[in-house]
Amino acid sequence: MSPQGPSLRRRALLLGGAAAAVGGGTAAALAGTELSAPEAGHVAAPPAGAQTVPFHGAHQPGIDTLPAQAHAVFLALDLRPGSGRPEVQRLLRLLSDDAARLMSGRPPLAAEVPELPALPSRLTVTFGFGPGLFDAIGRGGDCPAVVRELPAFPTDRLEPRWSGGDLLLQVCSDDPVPLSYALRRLVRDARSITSVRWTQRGFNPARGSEPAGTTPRNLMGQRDGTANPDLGPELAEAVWVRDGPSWLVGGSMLVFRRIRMDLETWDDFGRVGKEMAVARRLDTGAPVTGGGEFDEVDPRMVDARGMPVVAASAHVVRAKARTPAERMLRRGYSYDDGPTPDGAPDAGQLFAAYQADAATAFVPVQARLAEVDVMNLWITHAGSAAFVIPPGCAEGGFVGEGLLGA
Amino acid sequence: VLAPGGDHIMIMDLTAPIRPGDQVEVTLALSDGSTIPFTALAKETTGGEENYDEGAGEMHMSGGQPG
Repeated sequence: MSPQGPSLRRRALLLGGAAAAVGGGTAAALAGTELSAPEAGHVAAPPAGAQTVPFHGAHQPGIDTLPAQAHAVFLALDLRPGSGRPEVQRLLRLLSDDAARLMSGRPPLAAEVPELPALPSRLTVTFGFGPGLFDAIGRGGDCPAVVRELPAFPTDRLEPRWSGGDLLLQVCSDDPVPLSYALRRLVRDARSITSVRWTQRGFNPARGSEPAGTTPRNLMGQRDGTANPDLGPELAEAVWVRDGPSWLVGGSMLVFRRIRMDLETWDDFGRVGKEMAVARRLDTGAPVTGGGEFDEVDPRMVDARGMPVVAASAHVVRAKARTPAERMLRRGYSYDDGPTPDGAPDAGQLFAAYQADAATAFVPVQARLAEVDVMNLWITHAGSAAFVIPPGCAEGGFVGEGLLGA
Repeated sequence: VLAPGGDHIMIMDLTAPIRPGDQVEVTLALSDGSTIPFTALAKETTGGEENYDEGAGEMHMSGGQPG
């Protein structure tokens, strides 16, 4: 359920009341104004573009901002050689100020076109710190080992051009226009201290194309994200750091993977095989062993001949969290950078998983998938980066101030 | 009201450089003898299309609300 759901329903009820009064002819003045509007309901509804997400708070935005916005850009910056603590502090102060203004629908400081950021469409800006940032500020020892170096997995085919980075910007919005503007202003203000390492653009189904709360489909046609923790205590426990140094409490960790999909062979693979590879149906996302989307796959079910219905190598059997510490929030986006000159797809998923500790969540789950997962026939991890997500900041503060000092 | 491209304050003969992202303590001394202190975030800009001397960059300052 989207947060605005109840208030929209309430607004609809109030409008209904006004329309009834007009129909009764009891208020001539009211009727005059109401009837002059072609469709009172449409005029009164605020445009979706006006919706904003607060920047300031205990946690950074863009993580438990759900449903995830329709568009995302992940951008990794590298600090220029010689950058130290003062430079990083100035950088984060500038970018936090920009993010706060842009997310509220205001132009960044010194920008003169208020129209471009005016309809942010739930714009969020989220900052992640890579190992190079910790090193630059002289706090290399504070970078968690799992963020400094994720283990290598046997199925990895990682390319440096999609991997690593000192500072991550995750910028999301339901509308690619304010997103594009926000990104160019943020990068402009970062340019004197950083260079751009990589940029990866992703998308989900357009907002409103399916009822609110529907699990998005990926480019393989699967409902992707069914197993995500529900917003509330379950998500909070999976995502936010509770025990740790004070500069990290309220923060998180992000594992970002560029997962290439071999969509040509996938498209030519039979429907039954596609569903068995994951153990969930393509149409509803429900388990092939029965039930609804949010029911679990029954790995022990056998058919009339006593044969297992679900292969032990099916994706969800391998990927399912086996302990609470393995839970994470998958906030992925599809990417499509193709076709190639010879007409082949160049597409897949920008897998973005938030978790309190990647060492107990992403790492063991990915180790299982790299060992055995039918989906490995079609997917390849082509890029990888891990970041510490510092907690949010209060008004007047900046993201990372606990680590850097205000 | 101070605004980009509108009324603004020029700071000249700086004794130390102001770098983007610096928080600058500014005190305005008014003609009636009162002062207005505020903190401004410094930012690099090419806006305004103004040029007051050869090659000098201009720093735009805003962000604090005069007390």
